[in-house]
Amino acid sequence: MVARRIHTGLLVAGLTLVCSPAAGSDQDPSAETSYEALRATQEVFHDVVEKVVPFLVRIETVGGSQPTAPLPEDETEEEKPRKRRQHQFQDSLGSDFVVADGPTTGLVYSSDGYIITSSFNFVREPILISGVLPDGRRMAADLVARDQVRKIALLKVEAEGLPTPKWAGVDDVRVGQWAIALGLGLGEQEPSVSVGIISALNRMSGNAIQTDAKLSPANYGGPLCDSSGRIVGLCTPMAQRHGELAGAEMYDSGVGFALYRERIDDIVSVLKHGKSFYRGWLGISVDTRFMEGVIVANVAVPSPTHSADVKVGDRLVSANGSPLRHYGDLMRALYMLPAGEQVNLVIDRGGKEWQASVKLARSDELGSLPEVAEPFDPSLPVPKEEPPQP
Amino acid sequence: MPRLGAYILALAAWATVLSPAVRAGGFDHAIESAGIRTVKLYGLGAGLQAGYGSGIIVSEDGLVLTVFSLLIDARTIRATASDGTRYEAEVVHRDTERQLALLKLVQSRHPNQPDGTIEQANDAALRFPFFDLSGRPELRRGDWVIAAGNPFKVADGAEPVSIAHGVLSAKTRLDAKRRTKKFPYTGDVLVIDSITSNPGAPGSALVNLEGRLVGMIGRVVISELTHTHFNYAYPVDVLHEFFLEATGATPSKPEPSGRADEERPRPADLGLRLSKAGYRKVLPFVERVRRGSPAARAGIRPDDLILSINGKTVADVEACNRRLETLSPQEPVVLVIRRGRTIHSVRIEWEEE
Amino acid sequence: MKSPIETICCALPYLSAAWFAGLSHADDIDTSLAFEAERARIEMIERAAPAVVCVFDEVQRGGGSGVLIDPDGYGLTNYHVVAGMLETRRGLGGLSDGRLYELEVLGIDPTGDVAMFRLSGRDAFPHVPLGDSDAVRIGDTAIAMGNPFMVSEDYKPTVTMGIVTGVHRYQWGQGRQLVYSDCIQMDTPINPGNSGGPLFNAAGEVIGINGRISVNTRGRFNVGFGYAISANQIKRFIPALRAGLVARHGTLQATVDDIGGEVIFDEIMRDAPAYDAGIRIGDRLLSFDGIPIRSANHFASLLGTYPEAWPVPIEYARGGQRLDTVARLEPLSPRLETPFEADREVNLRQVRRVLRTFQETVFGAAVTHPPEAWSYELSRRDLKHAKNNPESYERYRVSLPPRGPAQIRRMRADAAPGPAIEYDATTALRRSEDNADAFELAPDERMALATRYIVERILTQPIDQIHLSDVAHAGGDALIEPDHTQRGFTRRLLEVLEWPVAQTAVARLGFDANSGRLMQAVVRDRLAGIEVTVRFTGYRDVGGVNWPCEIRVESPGLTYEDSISKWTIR
Repeated sequence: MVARRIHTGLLVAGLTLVCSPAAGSDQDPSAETSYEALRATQEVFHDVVEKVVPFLVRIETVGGSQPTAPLPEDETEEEKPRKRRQHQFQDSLGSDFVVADGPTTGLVYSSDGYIITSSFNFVREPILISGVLPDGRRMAADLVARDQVRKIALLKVEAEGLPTPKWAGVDDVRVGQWAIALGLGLGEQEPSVSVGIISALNRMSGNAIQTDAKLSPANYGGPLCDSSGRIVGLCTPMAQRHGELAGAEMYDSGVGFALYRERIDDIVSVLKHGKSFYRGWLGISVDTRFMEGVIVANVAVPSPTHSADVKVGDRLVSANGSPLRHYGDLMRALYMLPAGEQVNLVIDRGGKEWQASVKLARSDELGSLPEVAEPFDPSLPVPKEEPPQP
Repeated sequence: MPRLGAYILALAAWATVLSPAVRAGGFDHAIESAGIRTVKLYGLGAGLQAGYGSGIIVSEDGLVLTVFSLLIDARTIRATASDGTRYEAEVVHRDTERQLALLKLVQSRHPNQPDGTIEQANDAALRFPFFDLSGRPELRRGDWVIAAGNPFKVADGAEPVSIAHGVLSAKTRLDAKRRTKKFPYTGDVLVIDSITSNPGAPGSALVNLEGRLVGMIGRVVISELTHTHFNYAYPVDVLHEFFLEATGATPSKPEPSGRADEERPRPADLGLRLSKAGYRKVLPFVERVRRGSPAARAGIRPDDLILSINGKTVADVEACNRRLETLSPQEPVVLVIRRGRTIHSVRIEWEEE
Repeated sequence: MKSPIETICCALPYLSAAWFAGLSHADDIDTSLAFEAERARIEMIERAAPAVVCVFDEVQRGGGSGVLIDPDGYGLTNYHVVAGMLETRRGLGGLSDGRLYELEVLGIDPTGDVAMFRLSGRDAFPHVPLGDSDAVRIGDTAIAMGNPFMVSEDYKPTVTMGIVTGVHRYQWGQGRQLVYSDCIQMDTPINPGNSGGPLFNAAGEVIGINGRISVNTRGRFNVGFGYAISANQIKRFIPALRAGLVARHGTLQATVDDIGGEVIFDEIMRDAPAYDAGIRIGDRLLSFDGIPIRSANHFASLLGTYPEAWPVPIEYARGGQRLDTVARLEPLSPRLETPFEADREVNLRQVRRVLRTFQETVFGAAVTHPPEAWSYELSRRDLKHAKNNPESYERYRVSLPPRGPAQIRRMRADAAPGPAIEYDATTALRRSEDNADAFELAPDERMALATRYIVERILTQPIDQIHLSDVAHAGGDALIEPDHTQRGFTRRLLEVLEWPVAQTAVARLGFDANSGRLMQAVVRDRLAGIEVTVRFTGYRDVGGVNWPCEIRVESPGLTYEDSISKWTIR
C-alpha cells in the first residue's frame, strides 16, 4: 500500500522532468523494443498515414443485395453421390460471410482516374458506385472490370491529374518489416490504421504478400504500406479455394493477404480493356471416396476436359507440374487460375500416362454432366463433406 | 512532452516500488499502469453472456467504471483487485443508453473465502490507485495502446490481468448491433486494431504508451458498416461525462425508460417522401418534396437519389428512413444526391417555416 | 442567396479529423530507432525462419508446424499434431528451402502436448536454440512462426508478431483438450495450423511451442489469446523425447490449498514422495524448485511441468522453522488413445548419440581405435572409516591390459604391490598374492568396480563394437548441485542409459545433456536391495584424454573418494 501513496504524491507534485522509463536497463538493448523505439515507431506510423492518405478513395455503393449461394436440398446419403454428378457447375462465393453495406476503400492507380480496389466490395452487384476522391470530390465511378479470382476490381472516375502513390516491388519487401493497412470502411474522412508485419511473401500461388495486420472489410481494397509509406500491396480477402468471398471469414485473424504490385499491374492491364476474369473450370467431377488419387467421376459435355478426351475413371497425376495426391492438391493447383488459363495435365489411364493441355472455361461455357453408370464399388465409404467441384 | 512529465515520473516510481528488477520492454509502464487500476469482476452469466468481466478504478475510494451487462444485475458482484484482494461491488449508477455502469468497491462481507483469496482485513478507508478521468491525453491514429482486463478469465486472484497491444485505428461513431438489436450507444468510439471483442473484455482499460487512460473497452457488438466483430473503446470524455452524472456532479440525462421509441421526440421533418414498393431493398429515390419544407428550400427534387446523409451511406429506403429519423433540428444536414450522371452535395438548413 | 447546391469539393472539403491531434511530427523523437528495431527484427527472422517446419501427414491432408533444434534434424511439435500419425509414425516436413523431408515421429509427451520428430534427407539442418522461458516477461516481443491454415505453398513459414500478455498461466483441459501448465500467453496471432510451431523472443530463441488459443463465437480464429508451452518445461523432457519414449510427468502425491494467504499442504498420500521427503500435512509450502509459490494454482501449474522421478528441492515451514528437502516425483501415466511402444531403433540411435557425444568430449572425437592398455594410480580417502583423519589415504594401482579383466592393487607402505582384485562388467574377484584362492567381494564393492569397468573399458570402444543389446536410453534425470545462484542450487539435465552390470544389477549412467560428460552412475541391485552411487567429477586433461579424475562412491557399506594420478596410456 506504500506504492499507492507515492503515486498520489507525485501526481500532485507536478514535476516537469521527463523521465526515461527505459533508462537503467541492464538487458541487451537490441533484444527488446525500448520505450524510445516504440515512441519512434508511433511517429513512423503517423508519417505513413500522412503520406498515404492523399491516394485513398472512399467507395460508396447503392443498391445490390447480399448474394446467397444456392444450397443443395436435403438429400439422403445414398442420393448424394448421384446428385453430385448431376449438379451443375456453379460459381460459389466460397464463404458464408455476410457483406455489409458500409463504404469501402480504393486506391488511386493512375492519375487519369483509374482506381483499384478489392472485388470483395462488389459481390453485392451494386447499381451505383461513387468515389470520394482524396481532395474531397465525390464522383460517379464506373466499374471497368474485375477479377473474381485474384479479387481485384478496376474503377474509373472522370478525373485528371490525380496524385499517384509510390509502390514497392515484391523484391523490396522483406518478411518481418512493418506492414500498415489503411482503409476507409468505417465511413470517416480519415482512414483507419491497422499495424502488423509482413508474414510471408509469395502466397496464394505467388500472387500475394501475407500480413498479420488486422485486415477486414474496414480496409479491404485499401493499401498495405511499408514503414516509409510505399505501397506494398492491395488488401483483399483470399483463401486457398475458389469464391469471391473466400477468406473474408478469416477477417482480423492475423492471417491476411495483399496482392503485390507486379501482379496488380498484370491484371489491371487486362481489366482496363473491360475484360473481367472469372473462375476457371475443368468441367469434371472427382470421386472423393478415394483418400488418395484424383479420379475423374464425370466429365461435362461440352467442357475443356471433354474436348481433351478426358474420360471417366482417368486419374489426374499432375497439374502444371504439381503432383496431385488427392483432391485438395487439385484445388490448390487451380484456385488462382481464371478461365482462359492453360493447364497442363498429366493423366493416367490404365497405367499409361499421357499429357493434355486444357484451357479453363467459365461456368456458363460448361454443359451438364451426363448420367453415368456407377463406375466404382458402391461399398466404399462416402465422405460426409461435399467438397466444391473443380 | 513536458506536460506528461509528472505522470511518467510517477509511473517510474511505481515501477521501482512494485518490481525490483528493472525491465527493458517499452510497454512496461503502460502495462503496469493499466494493470494496477483494473479489477476482475465476477457475477451472473447466462447463455453467451460471460459471468465475468472487467472494470477500471476511477477514484481513490474505489469507484469502478464498467459496461452494462448481465453481470451488473447480479445480487452480489465480486471484484478482485490487482493485488488479489477481493471486494464486493455495489452498483452506484447505470445508463442503458450509453451501456455504462458505475460500481463502488466495498469490503467483502464474507471473509475467509474457501478459495483462499486474501481478504481486506483492516477497517481503514479503502484507497486505490485510480485513473483520473479529467485528463485528455493527446491521441493520434497509429499510437500504441495497451488493453488490460479479464477476457476469458485467464488470470486468477493476484495474477496479472491479460493485456493486449495494438494501435489506435480510428475514431468514429458507433453504428452497431448486438445479435439482432440495434446497440443503443451511437456516440464516439475509438477503434483499435487488436481484438477486444471477447467475453470478459468489456470494461477493460485502454491506455497509451505513457500509461494514461485513453478509453474503456465496450460490449461485444457487430458493426453495421463492416458486419464484423468490432473492437472499440469509449473515449475518456464520454466516460468522464457519465462519471460526473453518476456521482451527481452534473445532472444526468433523462433515462429512456422502457419504450424508448414512444418518448423520443418526433424526428425533425425535412419534408421528403421516398419511393415505396413492395420489395425490401429499394433505392432511396425521392418521390415527393413538400413545398416550403427545408428539403424544398435546399433544392431537392423528386427523382433525386439519396446516396448519403451526413456522411453515412444509405443503401436503401429503409436505411434512409432510419437515418432521417435520427436527424436533429439543431444541426444542419448534408445530403449527397445523384441527379442523372452528376453527384451533388446539398446542405439543408432548418429555418423556421 | 447562394444556391445550396454546389459541387462537392466545396461542400465536403478534405478535413483533417479535429478530434485526433494533427499529424505534426514531434521534433524530439528520433525515428531512426524505429527503423533499427525493424531491421533487427528482419534479420532475426531471416536467421530463425529456416528452422521452422511445416509438418504434414503422409498425404499432406492435415498438419501443423514444428521447429528444428539441432543440425541432425531433431525437431519439436505438439503431440496433438502428430497424434493422427502415430500408426505409421511417418509424415513429411517442409522447410523454407522449398523441399519436403521425410519425418519420423520419435518420443511423445501427451500430458505436456509435445512431441519430437526427426527429419532426414540432408546434412546439417538449420536449427535454433531453446531460450530461457523463465526470463520471459509480460510485454516482451513474441514472434510466432508456423503454417496457419496451411497457407504456405513453398513451406516458408508465416511470421506473426505480438507481445507476451501473461506468464505462468494455467489453462484447464476441457473435453479432449490438454491441460497447459505454466504456459506463456501472447497476443501474437496464431491460428489452426500454427500448432507445434515456435514462439521466439526478440533475440531469436525459442521460448515456447505454440499449441492452444482461446476463441469466441466467431469460430476457430485468433482473437488475441494464444498459449505456448514453455521452453523450460520442454527441455526437461527432451532426453525422453529424443529416445522415442512416452514422457511421463511427475507428481508429489500431495495437494496444497490457499489458507489465510499461505499455501498449506492439506493432503499427502501414504508413501508419497512428499511424505518420504519429510513433509507433513499442515506444513507451509514456501518454494518449489527454487521458485517462491504464490498460490495453490501456481503450485499446480508449476508441478505439471516436471518429469517423473525428477529431484525437486522444496522449501517449507513447520511452525517457525524453515526446512529444506528434495523430493523425487512419482510418475503420472498419460492418457493415450492408442498404446505407444517405444521404437527400439529410435532408442538405440539415441544411445549411440549419447555415447558418441561422450567420446567426443573425452577423446576429442568418436573412438576408432580403442586404447591398447592403460594404467594409473589412485589415492583413496575412505570417508566411512577414516572420517576423523583426513590425512589417511591409501594408494592403489589400476591397470587395464589389452584384453581380459582390469586389475586394481593396493600399494603397501613399502611401495610393493598388494593383493590384486580383478574386475569386469559382471564380476569382481579378489585374489591373494601367491595363490589362486579367490573369493567374491561384497556386492556394493563389486557393483562399484563393475561400473568402473564399463566406463573405462566398454565406453572407450568404437561405438559399433559396443554390445548394446541390453542397453537402453531411459530418458532424462536431473542432478542437483548446491550453488550460490539465486535459487541456491543448479540443476544439470542428464541423459540416462540403463546398462546391465554385475549379473543382477542395472546401472543408470547419467550423462550431462549439454556437455556429454558422464556425471554419475546409480547402480541398483534389486535382488540384493543395494544401491551404489558413483559420481564422476574433476574432468582433467590426462595425456590428451579429458577424463573424470575424481570419483566418489557411496553405498550403505562404502563411502570413498578416489583421485587419479600418474596416468599412462598406450
